[in-house]
Amino acid sequence: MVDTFILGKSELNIDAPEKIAGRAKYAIDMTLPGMLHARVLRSPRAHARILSIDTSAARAIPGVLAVITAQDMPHLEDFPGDRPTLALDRVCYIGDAVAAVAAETLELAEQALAAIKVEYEDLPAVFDPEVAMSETTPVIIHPSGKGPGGKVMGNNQAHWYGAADGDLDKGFAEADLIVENRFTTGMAQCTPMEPHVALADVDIYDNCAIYCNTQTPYLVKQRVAEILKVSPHKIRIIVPPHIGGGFGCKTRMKGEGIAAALSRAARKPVKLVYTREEVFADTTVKHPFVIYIKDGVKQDGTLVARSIRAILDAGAYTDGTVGGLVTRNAAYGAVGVYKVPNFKLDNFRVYTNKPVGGAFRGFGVAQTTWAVESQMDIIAEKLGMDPLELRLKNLLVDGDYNPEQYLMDAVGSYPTVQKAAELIEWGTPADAPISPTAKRAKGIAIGCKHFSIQTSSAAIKIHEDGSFEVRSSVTDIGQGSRTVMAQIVAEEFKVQMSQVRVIRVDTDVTPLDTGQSGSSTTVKAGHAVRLACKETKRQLFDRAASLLEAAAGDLDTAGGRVFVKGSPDRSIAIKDLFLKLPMGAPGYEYGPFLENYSELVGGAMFYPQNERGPKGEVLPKVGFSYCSQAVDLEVDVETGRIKIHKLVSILDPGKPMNDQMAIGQIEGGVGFGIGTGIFEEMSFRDGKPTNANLTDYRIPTALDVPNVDQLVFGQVETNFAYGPYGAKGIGEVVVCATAAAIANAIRSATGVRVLAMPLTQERVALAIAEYEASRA
Amino acid sequence: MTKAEVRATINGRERELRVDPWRTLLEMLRDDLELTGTKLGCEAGECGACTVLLDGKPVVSCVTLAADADGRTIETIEGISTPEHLHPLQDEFLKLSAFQCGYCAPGMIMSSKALLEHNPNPTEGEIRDAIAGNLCRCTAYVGIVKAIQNVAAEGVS
Amino acid sequence: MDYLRPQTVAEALAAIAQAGGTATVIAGGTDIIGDIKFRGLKPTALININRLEGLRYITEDASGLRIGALTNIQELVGNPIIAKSYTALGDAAERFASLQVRNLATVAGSLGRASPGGDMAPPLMALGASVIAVSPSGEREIDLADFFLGPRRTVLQPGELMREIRIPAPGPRSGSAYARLSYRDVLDLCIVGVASGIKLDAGNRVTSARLALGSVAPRPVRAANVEAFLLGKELTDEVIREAGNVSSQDANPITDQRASAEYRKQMMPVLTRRSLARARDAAQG
Repeated sequence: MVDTFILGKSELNIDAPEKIAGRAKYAIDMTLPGMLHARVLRSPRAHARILSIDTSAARAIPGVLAVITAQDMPHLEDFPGDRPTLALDRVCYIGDAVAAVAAETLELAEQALAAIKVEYEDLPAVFDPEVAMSETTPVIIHPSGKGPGGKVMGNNQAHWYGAADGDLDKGFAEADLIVENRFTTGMAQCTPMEPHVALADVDIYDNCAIYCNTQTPYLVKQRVAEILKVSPHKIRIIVPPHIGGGFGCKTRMKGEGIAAALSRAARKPVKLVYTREEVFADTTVKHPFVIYIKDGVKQDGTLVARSIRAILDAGAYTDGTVGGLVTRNAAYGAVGVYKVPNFKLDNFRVYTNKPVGGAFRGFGVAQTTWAVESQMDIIAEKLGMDPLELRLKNLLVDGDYNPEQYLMDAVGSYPTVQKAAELIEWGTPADAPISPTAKRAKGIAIGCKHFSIQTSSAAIKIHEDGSFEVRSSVTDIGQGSRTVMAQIVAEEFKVQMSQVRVIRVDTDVTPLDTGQSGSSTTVKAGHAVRLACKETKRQLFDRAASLLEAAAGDLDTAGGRVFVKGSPDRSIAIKDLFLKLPMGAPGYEYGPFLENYSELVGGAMFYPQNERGPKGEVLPKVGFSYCSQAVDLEVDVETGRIKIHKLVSILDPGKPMNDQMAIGQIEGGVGFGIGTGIFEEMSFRDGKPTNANLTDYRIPTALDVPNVDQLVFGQVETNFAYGPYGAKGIGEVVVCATAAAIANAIRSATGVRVLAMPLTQERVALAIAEYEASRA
Repeated sequence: MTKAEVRATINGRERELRVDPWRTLLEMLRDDLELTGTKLGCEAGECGACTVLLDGKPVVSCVTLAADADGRTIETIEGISTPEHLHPLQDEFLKLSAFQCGYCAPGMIMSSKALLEHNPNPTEGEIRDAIAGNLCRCTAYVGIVKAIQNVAAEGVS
Repeated sequence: MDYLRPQTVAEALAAIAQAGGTATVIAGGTDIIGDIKFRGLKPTALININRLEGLRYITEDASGLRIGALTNIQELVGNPIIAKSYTALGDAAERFASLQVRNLATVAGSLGRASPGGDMAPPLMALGASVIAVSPSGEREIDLADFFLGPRRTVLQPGELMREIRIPAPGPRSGSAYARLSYRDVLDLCIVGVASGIKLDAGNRVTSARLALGSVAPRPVRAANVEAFLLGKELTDEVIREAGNVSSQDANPITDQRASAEYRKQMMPVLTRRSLARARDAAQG
């Protein structure tokens, strides 16, 4: 980035001072006078008909002010409409919400839950998606969606996405070697440290304000309006600006609808804080995948055909549009890196009686990447090629059309993987293992993830003292988007960061945004804020033009002054554009103002167009970011435990807007990648979660990640012309390659190829034992 | 129902409260005293977001009885700095942007403070041992460990 | 709910007797608070014994080590006496939950919990520990090997409290170690834990062996077959390897959320070997 004022620099996170002092207010810290506490009654059955619900005893408890069931809020999610907010006549997984209560204390709320009597009649349940989609499924959970050719699909199949290019049969016929494998991934949970919180306050006119920690305020606003059956203009979503992590599971409505319905029933503010167990099982989880890959390659390593069939475990419902989107977007993980002339992909999303699959950092692409990047190493080994060389031979480059017909641009696979290879000293054998029972080796993988290019809007207000206020409905779950927005304003107006304030998200004030998801924030908010700055400048220059006796087009601004380009002495302070009209006698001043209107505000919306393929195919507008990773690790061949000696992660961020925050994403991605790669998997017994807590669901502690000097991070910039100032979305790509790099290193070290993710020490140890037994 | 009497020194100030016997120290701090800097993450002693110092030692306040604070000294994130003057650890965490969402920060800082008070020159391993009970989901603990190392190197505690 | 905080053991015993079985006794609280909050425990009274006088100590004399029942687990970590002569116990303590929990949880509370995977039991059993329990009718000493009945069940009678844990002096050429496998080093429960306490003669022959296994049975168990196998043998690498294999006969673990039976079975010999090798090193000093 050339000649920037503030962008690209490592500006301090504007929220950090409050956070480290313990003064930052999160949704969980909000209270309102007279506030009640809510609890949700959840199904103990995996699949059952509800015969009756008797809430009379609960209602009779003094201090219990509201008890609601579906009778009070019949509501199906918008699309495809399979998920009621509270169960209607059936529960579909253990944890499905059945009723909710609000009481003066949490203890009373618990008592009320215990007093609700629900009669169930068990229905058959199914937990394996491959069984659920088969002819022999014991049960149909919901009607199927439409698949290839618009035909209704087989059993329990909710969504399908397909892509094809070339002639698959011809491709396989040309191949010298065909490699087929079945990969699986486990169910994981985002595990933000702050649980989901909704504090709703509905007044007697049904105006509803909700303080919550959602990643998608405008979506929540719509859904809550449907639940209360009021116009969305009565719903106000306020995000008190700090959110204790999200990673996907705070997208779309979670507890907000229930809190609002309870508040309306009680006509008092109601606070619902999810327990950790609810966060695990009853928000949304990472879809487990079964991925069948069949590849055809030439002897020289050229990929000639690839067919992928992925089965996504949907869980019991669909989290609105997210279900279809994950089914679709998982495909991006199979098409962004390699040239494959003959290609076919089919993704099926299948209902089971388990927690609901939703948005999870990586959005399906992490799962696909795991399979593809493991498969590349398997092919290389069969061909006797170096796995890096095989990759380099097949890379898509700028100007290529990928198998989905995207014209590739700003491709970062080559520079990132080259740099990762260089820093891990690829080609040199790993040092000797430290433990006498361990084996050590290196592994490498390329991560590529699309970032959605979505709609967002922003407004900039200039205050009478010449300072700036940013209004945006993009939430900041910790990644620093509020800081980046402030940096853009500081850049555009050439002012210090201290002159810019980003207000909290409040849908009464902050304009429309599609939500914090799909690594979309940097691009869409970046564009929206930049466009809003442009509009604000236009108004500012119009106002200053006559005073400076110059054309508006000849003006520029910096340091709080407007000046004539080329004549910096002809200038006026922004604050002097405001009138200081005495409003009355001394002591009655009301402050400066503008004569035509009280505010100087410029707003703008960023609205991307769809992309077109070479034959006019309509494609969702996305970009691709890259993050290659290489690892040097040892495996204790007795216990299966992995110890990472070095992990290199090289990101292509386009042009980063804040260097330190980009590094923060790489760093966090490594933690997330290691966690989901070797530890994290939700487990069940007959549909009942058995590890919905932070002891048995293991996210990495400070002892489970490499030491400071064992982590090597870097960035390789590409020129992404469509991005604001050249920036790409990077929040998810950083998690995609880790598991495959680790699996590839395990294979090199031990001879064992594990096809299931996470690569738990149990899986690795059992595989090694089996391998050793087969060799004996 | 009996209430438990609690007389404790909280952030240097004598406090007298009457609490329900089952109430946790975390609830007392957050709800009764509105010291919301201490965070609730799991209510099972598994994440460390609620870490406070009890007689100088880090404990998970979500599984500590409020009644057990009686006669003891409690220090929370609110007690270690003033608006004008941050604790050296806070200065360093700030400088390195060690946190992202910041939800684990108060607990992490209290654990770090306790570490440096009894071990002013910890190794990286000792630092990691001391904060292993404080989960952070946003980072890989890099900035956090570095910040503690820097403060230790400067010899401030 | 009533709340009582007795000052002495006698007051505590009286309070428990008076409540007649509907009270819950709480010390460190790290487990009980969750029981009340999330697992439906509704006692009529909470009897907080956390600060009973004179129950927090670690002392050693010629007969061995005495640990006051309310000693918290962090107090075991880095204790020089334990590190030197009761190594297995120190090994277990330093990986117990997290520092913030170790500062609260008591040794006796952990034993009383009788969790099949609890980390305090195997090393104490391997060290031959016993529990001194008090009740209004007097004191009794219970060998820890006889203490556990099953998950959350011990031989303690209603109205009985643990006062002290006693470990006999190990004597010269003794060594102990606890090898514990979990996914994360801390903040994680044990998948398989093997504690060994051995004595060797001048020829490195085993004159006494106590091994205890955690997380592989409904309660912590002694590895009787391994113990019998070791007795009288010179503790060579080969014998240790063989002892590992023998351990398979000492428990028949099940599958739960933490590990499969298959993985546990595979790990028992591995951890038995590692535990024994370290105990031997310690014994040979």
